[in-house]
Amino acid sequence: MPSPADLVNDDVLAEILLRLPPGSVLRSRTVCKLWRRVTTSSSFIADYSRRRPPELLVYPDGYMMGHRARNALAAVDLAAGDTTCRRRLLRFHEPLRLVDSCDGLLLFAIMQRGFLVCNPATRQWAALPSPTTKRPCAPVLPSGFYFHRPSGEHRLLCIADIPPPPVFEYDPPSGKFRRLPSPAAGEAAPDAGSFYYILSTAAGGGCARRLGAVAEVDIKDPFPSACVAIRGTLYWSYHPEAGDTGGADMVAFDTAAEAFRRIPMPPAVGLASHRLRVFDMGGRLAMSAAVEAYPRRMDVWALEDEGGGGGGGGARWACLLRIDGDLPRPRRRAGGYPVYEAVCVLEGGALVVAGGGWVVLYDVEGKRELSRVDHSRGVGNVSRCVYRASLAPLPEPDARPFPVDDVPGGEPLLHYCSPGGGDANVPSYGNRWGRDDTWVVPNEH
Amino acid sequence: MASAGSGDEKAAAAAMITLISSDNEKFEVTEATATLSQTIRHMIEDGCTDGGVPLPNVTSKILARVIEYCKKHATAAAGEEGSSSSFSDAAFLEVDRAFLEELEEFDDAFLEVDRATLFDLILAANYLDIKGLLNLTCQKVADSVKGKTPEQIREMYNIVNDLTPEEEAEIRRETQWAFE
Repeated sequence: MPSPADLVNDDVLAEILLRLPPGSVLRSRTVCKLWRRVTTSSSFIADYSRRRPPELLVYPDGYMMGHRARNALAAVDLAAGDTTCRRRLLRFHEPLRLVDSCDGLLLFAIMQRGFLVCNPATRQWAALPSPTTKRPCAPVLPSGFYFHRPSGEHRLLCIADIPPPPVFEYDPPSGKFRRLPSPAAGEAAPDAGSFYYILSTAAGGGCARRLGAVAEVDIKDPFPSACVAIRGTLYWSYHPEAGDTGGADMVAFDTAAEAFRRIPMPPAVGLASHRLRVFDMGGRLAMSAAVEAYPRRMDVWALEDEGGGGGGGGARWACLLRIDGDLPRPRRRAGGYPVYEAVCVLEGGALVVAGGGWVVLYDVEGKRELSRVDHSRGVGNVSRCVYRASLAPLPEPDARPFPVDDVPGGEPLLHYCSPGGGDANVPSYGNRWGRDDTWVVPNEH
Repeated sequence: MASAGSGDEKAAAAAMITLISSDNEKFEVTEATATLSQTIRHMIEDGCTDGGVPLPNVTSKILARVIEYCKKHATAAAGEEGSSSSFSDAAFLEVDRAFLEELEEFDDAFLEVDRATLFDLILAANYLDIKGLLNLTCQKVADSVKGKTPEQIREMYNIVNDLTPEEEAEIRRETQWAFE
């Protein structure tokens, strides 16, 4: 009997196993040493991810927020352009909230305190270390989830508000301690204030490393916008480090040097007037700009040249595409609706635009629409997170099952759906704010 | 390359390449057929195909099957190029669909081979760098492995399990869910 082990070299065996779904690859690791070696090699894992189609994460039962919220997460194959191609990945419960995705990892926030990353393809998960172990009530704001190539770690840049330590005074007559009012942040306690932290998934439990204080600016909104990671740099259309420039600058963060810098915005694009979204256009920074008053219009800008460093001018932006009134009419929902935003660019160059319940594909070169799919009926809400299945192992996965909270049916906080299983037919959890009432788009601020 | 007009097409079609199998059998094929193989395409570009292309890794039996595949798919490629200019023409789309269906049927029939031949075809497709054929044949094997238990896979392909029980248990423990 011929066997692939005899007839086929490593490369060819990899060619075969690359075509298996994740669960089958994991099982195939117990066939023999050769199969294990091939499927755990770094080149195999990289090729495997590269071959998965980029998928847009959607909430198939609508997006629920607040106490006891339960959400399902599904992936839609963008290239297939067909709502029926969605596959359910998992369900998650309050206090978990999906923040972002990076390659095949999903980042969840636990209340405003901690974070966990999970890989739905391998079903591994790990908690990120907390920057506020001493003062667990301090809120932590996620700001950029990225892969740090030099270390091979996935990292999260976040902002933690560290409150000043409480000060007590002994009151001899009563024999009790009395808590004194806290001094203003930074004044008496150098340890208190808003700081940047980097949390990592490194082996050994990782660490929470403090970078420096958040720039103190007199602005209404201290929350950075959504972030995109391109070749080791994070970009935000809106960020406190832009300072008081009135929105003339956007901000970049070099993840190797761990330093912020400013980049001038595209001309005639302003925070006040536009809904902006940064995205990766084949390795180039790009930005979509839509106007709330004209939801069917959108401009797409790409950075041609950042110009001389150091907050200076000279950055050159090119307007690659102007969609003027041709976007499909947004599906309005009671709780307001999002305008269109660019999400990503597919391998063939097609630009993915999401908003108002639609996902539209554009040919940027040819300046024409390729396809449009109405997700507002078949699928609940569309996130802006792109997912690409990966078998990359987490350095230190948590072997414990997810805790079971007081959810009906005793389901863990995070529950994976079986591929091809009956999960796709499980009725939605009586989602009161289902698809027809409320639009809530995560990961915007 | 793609801009080569239809005038050159005839000339290209007329150019013949001789492929020589490991058991020294000679096959005359058109350049259009031969260049589905990236390996042979590079040889032609380098101008080292005079006197035939020896393929010491491929037997005549397998080479005959590979050429059968390439001939069919070379006409498909030519057809696609021809019809792309009149993309909106419904009649052309109809013809395209019929042709694609025919091609799919051909591929299905082509894969009706015993396992030894299938692996020989994979090796040949890999060596000759024929993307379509490699994809087709590897997918066939992958489909046979998909959803099977490790025991079933070992039995099917006569693989000896050289993992120690401890090693196997560790892999199972890491990804318990995949085995349930």
